[in-house]
Amino acid sequence: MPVRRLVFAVLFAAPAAQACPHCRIEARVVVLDDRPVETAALVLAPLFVVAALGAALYASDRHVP
Amino acid sequence: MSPDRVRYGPLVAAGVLLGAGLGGFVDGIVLHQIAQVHNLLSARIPVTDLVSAKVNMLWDGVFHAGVWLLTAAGLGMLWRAGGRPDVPWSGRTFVGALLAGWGLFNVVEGVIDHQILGLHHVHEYAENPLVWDLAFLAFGAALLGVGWALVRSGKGDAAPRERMRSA
Repeated sequence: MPVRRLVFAVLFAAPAAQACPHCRIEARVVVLDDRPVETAALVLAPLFVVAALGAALYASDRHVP
Repeated sequence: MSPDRVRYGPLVAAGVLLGAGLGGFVDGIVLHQIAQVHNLLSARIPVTDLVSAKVNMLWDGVFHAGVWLLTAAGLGMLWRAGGRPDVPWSGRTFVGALLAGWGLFNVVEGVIDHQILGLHHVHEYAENPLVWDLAFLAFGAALLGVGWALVRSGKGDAAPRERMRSA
C-alpha cells in the first residue's frame, strides 16, 4: 500500500535528515545574524511546499467540460 | 456524466490547503500559545527571558500570517470548485482532504523545521526532544493515511450536475 510505504519512509527519513549539518549551520547563521528576509524564507519554507503541492494538485485537474 | 469526466482534484486541493491552514492554527493555538512550546526559532533563540520570548513571538506571527494566507487560498479554491459541474460535492472526499492536509502540514513542517533546519523542536525543554518530534511526525503520517483513505472511499460519489439529473 503506497500510503503505508510513505509513512515508513517519512519516519525513517526524519532522523536521517538530521545528518545534514550544513543546512543546520546555515539556518543558525541566518537566524543569529538577524537577517529578516532569509529568516522569513526559512520560517515560511514548509508553507511554500504545502502551497506548491496544493496548487499542483489543483492545476493537474482543471479541465471544465 | 461518465466517471472519467468527474474531477476530484479541485475539491481535494481545496481540502488539502484548508486542512493544512487549519492544522497550522491548531498548532499555533494549542502548542505555541497555550502550551508555550514549539515556538518557531526556539532551538536557535531559546525562550529564556522576555526579549527571546518576543523574538519567537514575532516569528510565530509571521508563520501564522502565512498559515492564514494558506487558509484563504484553500477557501478560494473551494469556492471555485463548488461552482464547477464536473466536481463532486463529496463530504468524504472533502473531510479526507482536510485530514490529509493537516497531516501533510505536520509531516512537511516536522521534516523541514525540526529535522533538516533544526529551527525548533516540538518540546524544546523535554529530556529527549527527538521523541516528541517523531510522535509529531507519526501523528501527521497517521492523519495523512486516514485522510487519503477517506478521499479514496469518496471516489464513487457523483458530481452535482449528475445528482440533479437523477433527482
